[in-house]
Amino acid sequence: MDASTVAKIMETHTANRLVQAPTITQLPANALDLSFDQPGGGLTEAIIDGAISALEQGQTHYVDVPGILPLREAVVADLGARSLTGYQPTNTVVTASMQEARFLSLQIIGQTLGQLALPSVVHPGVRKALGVRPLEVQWLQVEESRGLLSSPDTIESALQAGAQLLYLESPSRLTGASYGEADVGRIGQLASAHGATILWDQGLSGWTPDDASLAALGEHAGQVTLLGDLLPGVGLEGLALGFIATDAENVAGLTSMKQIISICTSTASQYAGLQAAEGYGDRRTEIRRGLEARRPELVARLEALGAEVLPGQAASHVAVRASEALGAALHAGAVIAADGAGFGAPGILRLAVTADGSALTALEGGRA
Amino acid sequence: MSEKKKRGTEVLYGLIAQTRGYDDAIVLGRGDPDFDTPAHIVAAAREAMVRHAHESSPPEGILPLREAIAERTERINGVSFDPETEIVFTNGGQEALFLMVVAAIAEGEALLVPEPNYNTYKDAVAFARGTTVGMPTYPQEAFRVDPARVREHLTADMRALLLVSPNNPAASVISPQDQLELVAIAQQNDLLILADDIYDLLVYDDFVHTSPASLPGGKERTLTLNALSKAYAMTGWRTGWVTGPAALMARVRDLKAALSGPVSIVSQYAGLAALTGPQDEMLEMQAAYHRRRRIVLDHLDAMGFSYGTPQGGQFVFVDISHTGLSSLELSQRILDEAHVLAYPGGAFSESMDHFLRITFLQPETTLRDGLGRMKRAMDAIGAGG
Repeated sequence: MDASTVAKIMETHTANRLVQAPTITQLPANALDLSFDQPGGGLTEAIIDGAISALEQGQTHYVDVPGILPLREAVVADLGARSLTGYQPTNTVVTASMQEARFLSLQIIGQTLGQLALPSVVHPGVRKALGVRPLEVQWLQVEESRGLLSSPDTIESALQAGAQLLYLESPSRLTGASYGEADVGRIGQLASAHGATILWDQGLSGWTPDDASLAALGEHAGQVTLLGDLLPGVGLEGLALGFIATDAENVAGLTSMKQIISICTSTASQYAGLQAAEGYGDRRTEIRRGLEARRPELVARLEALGAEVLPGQAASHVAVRASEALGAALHAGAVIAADGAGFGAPGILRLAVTADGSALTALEGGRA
Repeated sequence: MSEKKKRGTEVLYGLIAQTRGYDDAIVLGRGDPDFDTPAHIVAAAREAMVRHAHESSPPEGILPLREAIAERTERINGVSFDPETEIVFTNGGQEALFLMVVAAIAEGEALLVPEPNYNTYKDAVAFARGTTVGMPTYPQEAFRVDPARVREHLTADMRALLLVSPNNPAASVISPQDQLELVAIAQQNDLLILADDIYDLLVYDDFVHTSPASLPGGKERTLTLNALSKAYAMTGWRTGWVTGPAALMARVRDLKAALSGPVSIVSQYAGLAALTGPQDEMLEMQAAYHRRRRIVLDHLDAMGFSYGTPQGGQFVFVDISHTGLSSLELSQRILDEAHVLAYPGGAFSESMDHFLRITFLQPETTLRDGLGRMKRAMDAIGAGG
């Protein structure tokens, strides 16, 4: 092919990226990977049996574009159990990963509403999704004291400057910091006052005990489209499931675009998800408590290494400022951390908390 | 996206939704094989859930799967791809299609699209803020993608040619000679080729499938999609892929990461089992499609329909001009009266509103029943041939 054709495509490609989002470092063979977005866990026999039984009974064909109805009902029931009321299965879309949920919500709702405002520190997948087709974006300042969240005052300024759509993560995908009840209430009121919509990634909220802030968010369901990983923490991560819970106005466009990009989500994954929904609330609480028990030990170890730990409420992760001593400890323990540069926060590292304590062991030199 | 084509897609989904209201509905429209996925592939999915659910995957898919795809494309399509850099595994042929189009077409650029075609091509181009240049094909020419006509439709802003063979919905196959000429046109005009090979295993009589990428000068400018959905009855698993030259595939890989990240690890291992495991069930399904095609054609002959003899794929594109009805009107009336769904050609292309697409993705007895009901409905409508 003429070099000019390739060059032009690559030039367009580069121009379409708002910011280059580096890929998290590839793993050495013997590494302990603590860069993952959600707590790991094995699929139970019940989940596997349920999914395989459905496949053996012929659930190997196309299914409804937004997902099988029982799974959408289970997603909405789980949200409701966590005070996130106001969502309906008919307005919910099961996606082929959390990343597909980001892509669909940003590109489709963003395209409809115009100017998007979002914190400068967000999951790398957000920048990737925005890079596919540029949108008008306001990047918002974040505050260290808030665990790299944007303040409600900053959000208000963005809305006053014309933003019609907000993309917020709470808890932050980097630090685990989340908005409290008062801030959530104020952000919801601001969105109402300005007629704005919020895309709210609450994917890590299961690892915080803060029901009050979720209830405050649920009160603004009319303004808030929720997205997240589908039933995280029980081994579904490799099965690539996410969801978007929205309103009747947005769901048609999201479903139409979902049909265009993938027709439907894998039935093997969906039926595994459906089985995982059985007793999920109790299982999540159990996992969260396990993480809560381990996180202080990891924080203490990191602080003992001289690392500055950033504020964060989610039990699933710890974010720290990189230092020479920490780098040496990670290297000695062959530990892989998520690089904050991809989130828009160079110099910050994120480590996942593990319920089995392997992170702590590695940092104590047990694996060196 | 194009409002007109969006409506086309919605028309099809509306008709599918209506069939759910009938206990005795027979769907002769949708491209979803009636066969369930072979048991050894489901067994591989169980194994993957037990052993590999924690395994991380790059956006392009696990290497053993890409190696299996490389082996398959070399064996079936006669073209070699480097599994490290030239293959990306996708959520079915649909995501492959979208990635291919968005990787190739930038804002303001055009894709030449032979008519009729699968709706999503135009939807994907519209997403990329590009344009499509439709090029007619004609039933009296067996829906041939005539290279001379392609030359006539080239425009200054054209970036790529779409070559779907066998074609959906017209079921035509591009001959090797025409493919050679089409690749030459692309070379002479520095165009990319977007090739849809999803039905490459499903060709009939003496027709031969030829991948543009396998021809001299083809590989360096061709992105090709394929999938396991149709040949292995795996529509629900979302297992497809794109192949192409490394420079372009870097773009496809980045887009895949941005769109959805890696495909479910379970679907990846199921796909690996399909490609590397026993092929006997897949071959039996192919044989069944040959038999069913004959059944459908015999019934259409009895009803007095004319059609382009399907050279490949899983459907027949039937001329309904003599009925005096639009394709949607006739499709709707057959559905209302016989509870049989055939897709209206107008949903695929405005110029194909005097065609119905009838698939042969039902068991033989169901096919006979459905076509018998369709004949009675046609007689009742007074539109029999």
